[in-house]
Amino acid sequence: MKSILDRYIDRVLVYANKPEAEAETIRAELQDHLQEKVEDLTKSGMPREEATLEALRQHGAPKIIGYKLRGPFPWIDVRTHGTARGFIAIGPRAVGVVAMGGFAVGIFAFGGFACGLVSTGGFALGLLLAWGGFGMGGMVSAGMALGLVAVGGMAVGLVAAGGYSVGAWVPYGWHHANAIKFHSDALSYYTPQNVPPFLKSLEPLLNIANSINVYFVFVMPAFLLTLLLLNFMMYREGKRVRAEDDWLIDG
Amino acid sequence: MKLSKKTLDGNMDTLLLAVLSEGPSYGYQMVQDLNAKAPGVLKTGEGTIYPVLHRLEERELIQSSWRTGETGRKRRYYRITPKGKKALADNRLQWAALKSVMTTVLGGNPAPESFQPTTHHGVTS
Repeated sequence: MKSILDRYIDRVLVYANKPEAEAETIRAELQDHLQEKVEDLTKSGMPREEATLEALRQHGAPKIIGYKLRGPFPWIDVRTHGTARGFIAIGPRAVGVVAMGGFAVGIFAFGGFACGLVSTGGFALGLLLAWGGFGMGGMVSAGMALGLVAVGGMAVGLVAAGGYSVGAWVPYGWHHANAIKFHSDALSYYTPQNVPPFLKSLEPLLNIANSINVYFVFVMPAFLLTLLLLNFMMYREGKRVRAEDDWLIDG
Repeated sequence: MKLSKKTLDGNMDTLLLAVLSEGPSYGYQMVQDLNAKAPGVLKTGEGTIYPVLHRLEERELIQSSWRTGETGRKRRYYRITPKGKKALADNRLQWAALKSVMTTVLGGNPAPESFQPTTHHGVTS
C-alpha cells in the first residue's frame, strides 16, 4: 500500500501531466523534500503521523503545484479548473491560439465569453469576426450585433443589416442572392443617393457576414462540435485525474 | 502586512536566484533559508518553489545535478549559472531603481517590520 506521501506526489503528478521520465525526477525530488520535512518535524517532537500531515499541508495543494509544473505554453493544455494556457487551450478559462472554454481568449476563441481575432460564443468579441448570441467586433454576425459591419437580429454598426438595423449606412433595398431584405425596420443615416463611397465599399463585407448566417447550417454544427470537443476533453481530463487518485487531499 | 500572491509569484525567481548565489543548495534547504530570512514568504506552499526552479533551469539561469545526500537519499542540487548571476544582478538594479522611485513618490514610509529589507543581496529591499 502506498504511503500518504506517495499518494500526495501521485496527485501532484496527475496535474503536472509530465512524461514518465520527467515525472520520476519530480517524484524523487518531492519525496526527498517531504521526507526531510517529516524528519525535521518529528525531531521537534511532533508525532510522525501528525508530522506527515503537517509536511503535506505546508507543501501546498497538489493541484496548484501540479498545474504550475506544467510547461508555460504547451501545444495542448486541458484543465478541469483554472486557466488553461497553450497553443490549443481548453478549460473553464482558456488562453491560447485556439482557446475553448467558458471564458476564452485567443486568436480563435470559442466559448461562453469569447474574445479574440475570430470569436464564436454566447458573447463574442472579435477584432476581425464575431459570431454568436451577442457579438461585438469588426465584422459581426450575431443575434445582437454591434460592430463595424454588423448583421443580425438586431444590428448596430457603421454598416448594418438585419431585423432591426441601425447604422451610418443600412443599405435599404440591398439585394443579393444570399442577402436579407431590408425594409422598414432599418434606420440609416445615409440614403442610397448620398451614401459615401467608403461605406458603399463595405457592402461586400455585409454579404460575407450575412453569408455566415445564411450558411448557419454549416456554422452551427461546427460550433456544436467545438462545444462537444470542449466538454469531451474536459471530461477526459477529469476522468484521468479521478482514475489516478480519488483521494482528495487538497482543499 | 501580508504580501500578495501576485507580488510573491512575480519575484520568486529573484528570491531563489539570490539564495543560490550563496552556494549550491537543494529544494528543502532553500525553503529553510527563505523562511529564515523572510518568514511567510512561502505561504502558498513550499512545493511551489519547484515549478519556479524548473523554469529557471529551462532558462539556463541555474543548473541541477543529483547527488546522494547525508541521509542516503538521492537529492537534486541546484547552482546558479553565470547567466543566472547576470540576471540576478540586473534584478538587483531594477529593485534598487524601483525602491528609489517608490520611496520618492510614497514619501519613504517604512514597511511593516516583518517585511523590512533584509541584508539578503538587497533583493527584498
